[in-house]
Amino acid sequence: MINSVKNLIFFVIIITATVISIVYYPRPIKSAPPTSVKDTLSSSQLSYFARLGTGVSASDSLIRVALSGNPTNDTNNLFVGDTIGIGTTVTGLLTLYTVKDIGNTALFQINSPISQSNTFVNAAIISTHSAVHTFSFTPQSNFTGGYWEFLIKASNTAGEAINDGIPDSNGFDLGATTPSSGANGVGTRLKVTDVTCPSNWGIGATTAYNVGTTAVITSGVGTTATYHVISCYLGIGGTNQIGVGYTMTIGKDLASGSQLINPSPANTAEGSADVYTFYIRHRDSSSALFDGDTIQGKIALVEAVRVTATVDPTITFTIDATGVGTGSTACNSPAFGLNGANTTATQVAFGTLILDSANDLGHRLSAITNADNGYIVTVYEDGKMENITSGTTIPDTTCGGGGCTTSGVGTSWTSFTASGWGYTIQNLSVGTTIFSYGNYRPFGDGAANAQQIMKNITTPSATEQAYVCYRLTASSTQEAGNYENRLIYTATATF
Amino acid sequence: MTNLSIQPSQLEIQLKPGTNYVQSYIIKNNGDVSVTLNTSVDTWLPQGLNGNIIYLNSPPNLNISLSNSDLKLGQNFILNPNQSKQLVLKIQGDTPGDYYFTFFVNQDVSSNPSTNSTQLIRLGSHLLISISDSELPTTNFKINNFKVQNPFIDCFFSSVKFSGEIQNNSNYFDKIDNTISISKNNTVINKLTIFPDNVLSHHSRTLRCLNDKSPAECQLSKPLWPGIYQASIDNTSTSFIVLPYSLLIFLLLLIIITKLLIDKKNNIL
Repeated sequence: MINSVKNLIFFVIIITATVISIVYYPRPIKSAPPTSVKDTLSSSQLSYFARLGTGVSASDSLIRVALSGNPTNDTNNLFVGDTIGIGTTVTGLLTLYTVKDIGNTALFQINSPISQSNTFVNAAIISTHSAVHTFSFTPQSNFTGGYWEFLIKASNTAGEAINDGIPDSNGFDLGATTPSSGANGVGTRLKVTDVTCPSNWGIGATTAYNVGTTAVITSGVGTTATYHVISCYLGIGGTNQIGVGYTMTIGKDLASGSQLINPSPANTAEGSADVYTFYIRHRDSSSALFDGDTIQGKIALVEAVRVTATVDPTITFTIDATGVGTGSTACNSPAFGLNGANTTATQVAFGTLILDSANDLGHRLSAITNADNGYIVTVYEDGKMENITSGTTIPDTTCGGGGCTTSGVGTSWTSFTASGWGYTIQNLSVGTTIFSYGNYRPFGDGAANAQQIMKNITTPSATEQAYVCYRLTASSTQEAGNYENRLIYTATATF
Repeated sequence: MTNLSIQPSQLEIQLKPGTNYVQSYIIKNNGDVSVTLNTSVDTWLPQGLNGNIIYLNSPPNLNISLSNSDLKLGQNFILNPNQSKQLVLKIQGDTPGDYYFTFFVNQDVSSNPSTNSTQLIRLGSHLLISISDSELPTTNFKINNFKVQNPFIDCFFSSVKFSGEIQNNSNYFDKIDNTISISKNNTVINKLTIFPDNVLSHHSRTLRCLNDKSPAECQLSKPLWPGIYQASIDNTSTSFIVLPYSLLIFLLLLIIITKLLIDKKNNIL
């Protein structure tokens, strides 16, 4: 009986220990691909690869691109401030320029005249766009002292080198060793120090174990593709955890490192993304590849969208009869008479004039512009106030003998026994008016004698307004009849 | 209400001899009545130093026409309330040089037989055109009369105001792209960006500075340390001295008052 109990207890202990060991110390799964896999690009903008079109001569700074037959056939993926390289007659050598402006889909401007050595039809025009690749994944297997490999598509198109710093139409470029091996910046070759392997696994350095090799992978339909291989090493005795998410980055800020160069467009339809495959693979400490651990992902690149908006300066000018009707005392004038009700935007009808008296009417002027240098409004009369049948005129005012002139600051006009025609201005909200109300002056005759009446040398923040008040006097000897004259208000921006 | 607008209100163009340039304008009647309009062009010359102009009553020596199929320069057209019309101006010139003119949209009305005055709007859009074989014609700016406006500059209460003119001695207009550098003890302590005004060929423009995207008087704000300063634009420079005048005057007054009080006390004793 005692032996039976002992055997039972022993049996229970064994079973319990087995269950605990299975639960808490599971046996590593030797072959299972990582989960939660993705490659996030810091920029998914395709690189620019066009060729020089016809009609560009040495010293031109307007560059025409060839409109067909190249990865890029317009300027749509080019941006002001982009650094571009234009091919020279020396193979592989580029001259660098900066994009100063985009003219249209076929034309852009560079910061300095193009060199003679660049001015041949079909010279390459490139602008590289590169990205930091951030891989995240959750391993489902581990090998002590093993390796994880990250494969990014390289070009296998004939004529395209995968590591010359020139964007390829079928994959990412590793960058060139110019200006020197180990250099940092745009277009330079990716180095092991530009890769940051997960710091929370393995033993030893977090830089890449290997950069610069390629692998050829055959897809299920028998086609082969070339990939850049970037590997991270767990170190001797090191291993990764299973079911724990890791992150690694390929590429550094260009101020202190290098990045893979994004492809130029493979898809001629702009706006359609180019999709590339990447892989994560797993090797053991003897570098044996475990195909069962390989996972595939996709990344998509597309042209950036250039949003441009040009605000053309506009100027708007208004004449209306607001505030100048019957009874108005605009410009500190005596109250406007009944004819004030007949004032329209285009006409001031004085009707029958009161002799030897001031006949006052007015208009309201409004101006607004978004031009940098503001605006100017001028006025001139297109001929004298003239009897429409006899040609007799009412002369331009001398302000009752006060000696006012067309361009002066005006004088007060208090004597009305002589015929005269003139005006004054009341500033309602104008940046600058030329003379203050209470003083009158005659209109300049003809466009050459136009006088400024409203002005702002900066962009006004709101519509600016002024009253213009007309005064017409007729002596008791002024010939009877209908008189007429035209005033031309000219509104322009300031150059 | 007559309310008209034109867009753009100004253009600055560089053309190669013999090339055509086409520009569209949008004319809009924002008013509540129909208006009859026509178009014209008129040359002008700059007048003075502040962007004023004088019209010459003559068309420019360029081939200018409207490309609208239904409209020619000078021909009347009607714009109804809230209606816009696109006018397409075509410009072609062969002779290198600068051309300054204004494209006008003129209001027109039939006469009204009564004693009255008819008021018409003329909206203008300036065109500054350089015709040159070179895309970036060489311009030659010279600084004239560059000086400090206020002779006595107090450390605490005076801003330093600069004045001057920029003269364009070349055959082509250009924008000012320069700064006023303020230095003390051969060290640049401040820079004032000059407003990028257009300076037309063989004309001058008053110096203005950029202040929050707007033109403003060129001035160095108070307070300033005492000392000798130098302001320079390229190779043109002017010097000015900053002193604590207000403090000196205050001390002087204090000394005088103290002395008067002491004298008064002595007299009493």
